[in-house]
Amino acid sequence: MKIERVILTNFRQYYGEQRVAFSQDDTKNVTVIHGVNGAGKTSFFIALNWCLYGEGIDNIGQVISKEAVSKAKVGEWLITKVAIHFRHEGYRYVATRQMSGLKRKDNTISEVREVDFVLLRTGADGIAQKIPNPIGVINTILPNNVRTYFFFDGEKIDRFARPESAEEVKWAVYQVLDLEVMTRAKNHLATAARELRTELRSVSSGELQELVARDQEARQLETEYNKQLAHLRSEITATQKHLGEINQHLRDLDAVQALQKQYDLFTEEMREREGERERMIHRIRDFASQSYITLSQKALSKALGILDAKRQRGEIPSNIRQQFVEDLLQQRVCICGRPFAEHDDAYQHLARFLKTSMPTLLEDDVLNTTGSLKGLIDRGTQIRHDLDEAMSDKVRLDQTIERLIAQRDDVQRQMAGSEHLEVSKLAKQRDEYQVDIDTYRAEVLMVEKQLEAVRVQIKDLERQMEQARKTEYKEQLLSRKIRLAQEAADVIENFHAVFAENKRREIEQESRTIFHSLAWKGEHFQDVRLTADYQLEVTDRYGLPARPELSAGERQVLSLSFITAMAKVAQREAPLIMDTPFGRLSSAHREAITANLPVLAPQLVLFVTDEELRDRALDNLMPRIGTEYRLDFNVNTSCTKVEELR
Amino acid sequence: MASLQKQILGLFEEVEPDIREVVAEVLRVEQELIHLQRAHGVMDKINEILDRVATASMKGQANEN
Repeated sequence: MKIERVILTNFRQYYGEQRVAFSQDDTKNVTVIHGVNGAGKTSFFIALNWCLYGEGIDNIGQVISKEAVSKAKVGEWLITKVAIHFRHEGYRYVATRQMSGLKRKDNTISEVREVDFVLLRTGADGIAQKIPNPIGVINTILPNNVRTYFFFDGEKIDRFARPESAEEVKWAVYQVLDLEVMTRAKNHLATAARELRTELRSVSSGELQELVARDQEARQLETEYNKQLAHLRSEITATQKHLGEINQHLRDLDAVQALQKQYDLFTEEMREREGERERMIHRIRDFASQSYITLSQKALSKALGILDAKRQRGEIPSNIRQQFVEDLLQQRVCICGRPFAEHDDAYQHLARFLKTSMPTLLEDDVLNTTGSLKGLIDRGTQIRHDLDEAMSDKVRLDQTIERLIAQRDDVQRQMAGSEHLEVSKLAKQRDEYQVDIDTYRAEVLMVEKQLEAVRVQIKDLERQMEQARKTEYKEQLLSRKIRLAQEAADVIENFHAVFAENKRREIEQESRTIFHSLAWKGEHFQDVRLTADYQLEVTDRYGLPARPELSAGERQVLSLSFITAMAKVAQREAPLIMDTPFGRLSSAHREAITANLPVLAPQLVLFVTDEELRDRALDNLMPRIGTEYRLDFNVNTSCTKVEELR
Repeated sequence: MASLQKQILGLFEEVEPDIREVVAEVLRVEQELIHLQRAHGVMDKINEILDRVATASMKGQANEN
């Protein structure tokens, strides 16, 4: 992140629009903003933090220029705004945060509109895009938790070198080096793995495995039955072939030609009758499937009787009377019992009455129901009649077939008992073959039944497996997620420790180097250490702990060394922005710092008083200053104007 | 920032690609929400990442088979 410019609009004492361009030149990377105490250095510093992170300001009253409020009319909308233009990794960004409110009579602001934070990004193509998640993106550029180590004041500088600050030092290292991000990632992943394990326990059953085994068994059985059927059918075909051969042989023998002819006739007729019987059985099944109508005959008749009785009693309005009239017309009989003819007045009168009488919906319904009931009763009667007839036909066919079998058996016996040996032998063989075929057919029926049952079972298992597969997929997915979460957590934990230790050593080394360049009596201090428990230690030339005897200025130098060392090790592309950093430092330290600090950061912004930066210190910094401003506070208007010096 | 992220992601170069993807994604989410003391919704986001990577890897495995 390199800041290009900051634009303040009606922000605190900065009335109207005030602009500051930060130096971006690598060799002149320092921006100095001079200002006496109260001129607005800290306000400017707060503006940077507020714009990027929304911190430091609670309400519009704290932030809006009083001059702007006083000059506005009552009821006028006022806006306070800070815009920061910066570059980061090849993109140009504009971060803008603003608040607005309505001026009231008593010079205060009401109806404050929500803080609006917008981040625009422009790529090499020059197209600006509004970032949908501006806080998240700012956090990836310079995280909120890290910014205090890049935007800091003199007080912060002092803090790290205090003996009680080990936790704060550790926290700073964790924040700046993203160790905190790693820690959170590790903890959240471990939590995710734990929660997923609980979820897995609740869905896991192993049901699919068992179902698959059962399905395999059922399918093996199906294959086995199919094989058996194929075998039985081929046996039947082969046996029938033998039978055909025997029959042909017998037809060819003169001695039994007549008997064989009879045998063939009976066989042929039997086949025909059996075919008929088969068709008849199908018809009977069809009738039986409609037998519910026959079974409900009694209830239907009762319902029809009730409706008829109501109609006759006149309890169902006009249309029933209409039915009654229709009945009279049809029967040619008057209600009094007197007959009439079609040309009589009575007939004509009733016919006219019938035409003018419009049925109502209820009457229609009653009529329709009556019609349907009658239709059902008729249909039931017809079915019963057809069923009786079909059953009688079947019985007749059974008898015919039985007779034909008996007749054919008789012929068969005659042939088997023939004196002609060959005939007798062939007839007996035929008898055996016929028994075989009957046996095979019985077996086929049995196997077909078993096959049907196993197929029903397979279909049922398929349904169950489909359901279990859905559950199992969930189980597999959960297992994989658990592995990913746990291994990711483990790997982060393993590398976290190594990474943290390496970075601690790097910071220690950098702090040592920087401290020796910034402290005016660097030779007096032998070593700077960042211990494993994150104590920032200094030893003197005798190897003895020197931190307790450090002056306030030396403590600040030690802190500054640590902060800049962290920034360097983190390799974050971020500016160092320091508010009154040299206030408590002696000239020797100021000179050392101004001589060395510019090379430690890619962009350095200093808010200073004239007293802080003068003489040799200013001379040291001069060749590195790219832009320079003065904050000019006007006591008459209480407003600060930014004056460009360089 | 990029340098530090590259350094951290570089730590996981030798790790199995699926795990590396999860680590990188979760670190990105955590970084985006680092300003929140208790990041609401972070577990949902992590679960989404795990779900996406696990589903993709199961599909990849099914295609190989």
